[in-house]
Amino acid sequence: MTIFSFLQFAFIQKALVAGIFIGLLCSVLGLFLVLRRLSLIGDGLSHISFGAVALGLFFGFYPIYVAIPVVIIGSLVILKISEKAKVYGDAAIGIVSAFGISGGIIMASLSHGFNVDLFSYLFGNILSISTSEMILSIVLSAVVILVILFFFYDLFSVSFEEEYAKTTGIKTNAINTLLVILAAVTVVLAIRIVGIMLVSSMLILPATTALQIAKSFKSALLVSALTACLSVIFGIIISFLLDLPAGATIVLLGGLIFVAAFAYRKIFS
Amino acid sequence: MQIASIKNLNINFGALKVIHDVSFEVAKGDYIGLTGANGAGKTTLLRAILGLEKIKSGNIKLFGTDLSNFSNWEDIGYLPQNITSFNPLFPATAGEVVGLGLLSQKKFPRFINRRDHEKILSALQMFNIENLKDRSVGELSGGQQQRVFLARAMVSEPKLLLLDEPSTALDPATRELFFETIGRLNKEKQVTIILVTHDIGSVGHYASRLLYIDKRVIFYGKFSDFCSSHDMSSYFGSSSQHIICHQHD
Repeated sequence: MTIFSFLQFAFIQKALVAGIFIGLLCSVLGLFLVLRRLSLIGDGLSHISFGAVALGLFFGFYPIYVAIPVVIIGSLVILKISEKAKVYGDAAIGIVSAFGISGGIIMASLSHGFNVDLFSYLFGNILSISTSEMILSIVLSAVVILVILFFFYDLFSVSFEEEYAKTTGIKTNAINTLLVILAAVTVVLAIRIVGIMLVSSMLILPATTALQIAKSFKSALLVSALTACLSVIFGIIISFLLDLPAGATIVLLGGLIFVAAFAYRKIFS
Repeated sequence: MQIASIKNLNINFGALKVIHDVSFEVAKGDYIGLTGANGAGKTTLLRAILGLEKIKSGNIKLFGTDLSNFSNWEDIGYLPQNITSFNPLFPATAGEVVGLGLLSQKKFPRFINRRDHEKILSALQMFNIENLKDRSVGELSGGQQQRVFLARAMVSEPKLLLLDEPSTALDPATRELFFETIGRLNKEKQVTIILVTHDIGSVGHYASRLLYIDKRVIFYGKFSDFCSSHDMSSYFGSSSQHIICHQHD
């Protein structure tokens, strides 16, 4: 038995494949969100997904299928509130996430019977991911990454300077809507890896790590993607070897990589 | 050829009138110095031409097309007033930022190709900053950033350039280079220019026409006509008019 013999386990293989896809997705989208100062939208959407997961469990539906449309609607409501209601984006996130959390708590309290399931969504468990969940994660991640690639320069321009982007003919409102919809899908997918409690860190940590060392936008994307992949791969391996919770290990590793990048910048620049 | 036509334009910020019944036309090759006191509505007017301000009433046409239907944004280059509005932590190089000016030429999906990189380099060379191409724009000095944003405005080789306080943050040598460059573009390539400036005294050195506003149009015409205008003499007072025109001489 070698040190890599754990790779023969099907559940580890599924976790690694799904984790890398979702990690890549989080790292790319997270960079746009962080640069748009929308980092906390991940937190808000995860709170909405808590309500949506509770709703799914309450009615006996597969929670992720319920969460995707509900969180997309929640993300659009956040956008509309911040555009129309004279409310800053962070306050809009707070308003909508309060509905998600309170709704979820009421559902959980009414049902009495699904608290264990809800617990698994709160903290995630990528090691228990099923084959169908893995396929769903790969397909949705690939679709979202392709959409990002097609709109890459539109997203880049709007993130850099929205008003200027408008003067080059980019439909900035449509791009903002696209960004929050993509964020909603990403958050729901990432719940299976790190859970509702830690999902925003999957969006924030790789991006903020990249901002410590990258000089160009393309290098920031590369560093962000690399950070996410390393966190997921080594997080899964370490959690398996040391019998630790996978989600928390992945996030903690991401946090340590951020600290290392921060120290590197302070020392060498 | 008519480049822009603004008719009976009114813009309010809440109850406050910021642009009142402004009308003027811009022909191909015009070089207009748009000036006025603080709060006169210069930047608002420029932003309205770009569709960035909500219009209360009136009409704006660009290249003969109503602004609401206008889509040839590659014909327009724009330098915003406040270039520091971008996030200084944004990891973009000067070359990448200048490349954003080319997106107006692209149809979906927009990509920057190898030929575009040559255009980006030429735009950077126009302001002697080709050496900054791979530097992060957030790390550059204010003057260097201003030149990067000017290069971005120029990179699509626009027919109409809208520049809001372009010489702010430029050192005297770069300022001279800038006015020489856009003066040459105006004369040799017939690029139409609307340049917002506070500096009414020196605007006549480069602009062919003066548009002076104070929420409404006070004067629109040649600088020499401004100096000989009795109306302007009554508006500014003859001594102020004399000082302005003397600076021009």
